[in-house]
Amino acid sequence: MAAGPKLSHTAAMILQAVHVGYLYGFSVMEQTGLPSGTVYPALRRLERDGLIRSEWEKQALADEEMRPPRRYYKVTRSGKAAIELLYKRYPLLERLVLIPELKES
Amino acid sequence: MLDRLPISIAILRTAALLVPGCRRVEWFAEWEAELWQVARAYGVAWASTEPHGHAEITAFCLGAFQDALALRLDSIRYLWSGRLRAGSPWRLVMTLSAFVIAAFVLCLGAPALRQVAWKNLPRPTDSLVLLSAENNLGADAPTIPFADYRRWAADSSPFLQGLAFYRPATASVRIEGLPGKRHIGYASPSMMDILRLSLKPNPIGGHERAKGPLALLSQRIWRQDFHADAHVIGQNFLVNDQLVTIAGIASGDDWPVPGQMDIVVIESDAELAKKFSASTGFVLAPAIRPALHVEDPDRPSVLIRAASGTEMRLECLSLAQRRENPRSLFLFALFLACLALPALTPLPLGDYPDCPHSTTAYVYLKRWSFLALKCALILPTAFMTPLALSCRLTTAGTAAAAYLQISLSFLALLFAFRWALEDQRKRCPTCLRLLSHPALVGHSSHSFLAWSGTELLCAGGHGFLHIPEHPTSWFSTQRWLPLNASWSELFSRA
Repeated sequence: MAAGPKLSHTAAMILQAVHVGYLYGFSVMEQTGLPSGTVYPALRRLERDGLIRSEWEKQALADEEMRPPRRYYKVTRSGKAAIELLYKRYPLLERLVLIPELKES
Repeated sequence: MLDRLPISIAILRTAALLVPGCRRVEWFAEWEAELWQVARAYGVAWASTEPHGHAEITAFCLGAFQDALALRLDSIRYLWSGRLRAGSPWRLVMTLSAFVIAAFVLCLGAPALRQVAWKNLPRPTDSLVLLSAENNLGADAPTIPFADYRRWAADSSPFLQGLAFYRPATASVRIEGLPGKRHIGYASPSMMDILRLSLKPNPIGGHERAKGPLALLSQRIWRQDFHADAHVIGQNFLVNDQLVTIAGIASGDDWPVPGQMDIVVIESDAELAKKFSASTGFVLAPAIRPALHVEDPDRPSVLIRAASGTEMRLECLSLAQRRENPRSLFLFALFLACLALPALTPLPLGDYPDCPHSTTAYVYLKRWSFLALKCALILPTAFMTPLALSCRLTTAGTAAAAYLQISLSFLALLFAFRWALEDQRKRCPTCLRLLSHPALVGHSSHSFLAWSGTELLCAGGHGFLHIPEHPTSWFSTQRWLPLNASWSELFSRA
């Protein structure tokens, strides 16, 4: 097995949640059931390690919905590679975080 | 105007204070946007200025403290990992500080040093005067014949009241049946009075008085030969086959008078006369009387009649003057090292033109402050370490200790200053980190066409240092080539 980043189960869940399409902190919280004090620091660490990257929503889009612009997270290429390794380490990881479309249905 | 969800926003603003300043605005914007989502999820109007009463929203906001703290700890870790990397000025300063602390600890471990250096306070014996034959000022050899001492001691002249005689010698001793050689100081009874030492008048206790001479042991001998026995007073041992009775133990190893003495044997003047009638010794006087006329206040002397009937001039040396001050010795070594330094390394630091990254005055001040700090940290190390070593290797307060201290301090200062200058030359004048990536440039055979030498690079992208291989009239010293900010993209921001 190739050496990947050593992520805890919690961090792996958060990375998986971002991977499947929960793109901002609160949506990750809702899906994983983790508190804000765990999710946001984990997102920072994942971004620092280059597994995810963030970008700000366009102001115009936020203005249309009359809310502050969100900070969206996306999994990077190395993050995707890390997830593949994490699936082997945590076999149930894929099932722990539902894909948004499946959740809605 | 009131904030929306004032309590939640107040919690976030408080947590934001923990976030490093450069990331605070962005961090708060993200948490504010997330709070909007949370408020909507719990059906609380974003524009509400009333307390919402949702514990979940408050719990969400309290999580911001953990996030802010994690960011702060991360930035501190990043800052110190940068400061402590190899070649950084912080690392150097911390290393030099560790040397200072180590030298201080070394000094604390030398008990004799504490008496000489740290407790370099006036002593009761500082007012004593050592009499010496003319032109023997400060000599460690005895110069006064015992016969002269006896004549002066019997004189009623005010100056000659309370004189004490002693003579250091090496003698055979037998302590607890074991023979050995020790440094003995044979002294007149007045020696103890003049040194303000009190011996146990009846060391053997009871009504029986001690017969024969009394002995005062040094701390070292008491520990070494008598195993620090607390009940040693009153015991007898042999000095040159003569039985002596221990009457006291000196509080320290450093005698304020010249000569090395492990044991001081106190004998009556009559007994001393039998031993040293034809020998010379040291004579101590309580003080120079104010009424005494001295021709030169810096080198006081008195004219006195010797036993032979001739007049002799005695030079008077205060024991306070004789006591070497370690700080004066260090300053002398520092002076010598400063004189010798140009012979070891050139003093100029190189050619440094204006730096485009920061104001010249700031860079100039930073560079010189760093050099001054290095030297300031070198000084205590070069003072304390040789002092501690000299006290450990020799007897504290002796001439040998002084010579050793001067020699070690001089060498330490000379090579430490040389290192400080060479280290300074190899540092970036802007960020002060050590330059790296040395590259050979040019060929010596092409010196007419271009320069040849070594080129060093600042990893922060502040510039190059060119060190000529052969100094020429147009490139005599190392030269700094600053890079402007447009180059910074090529270098890591570490």
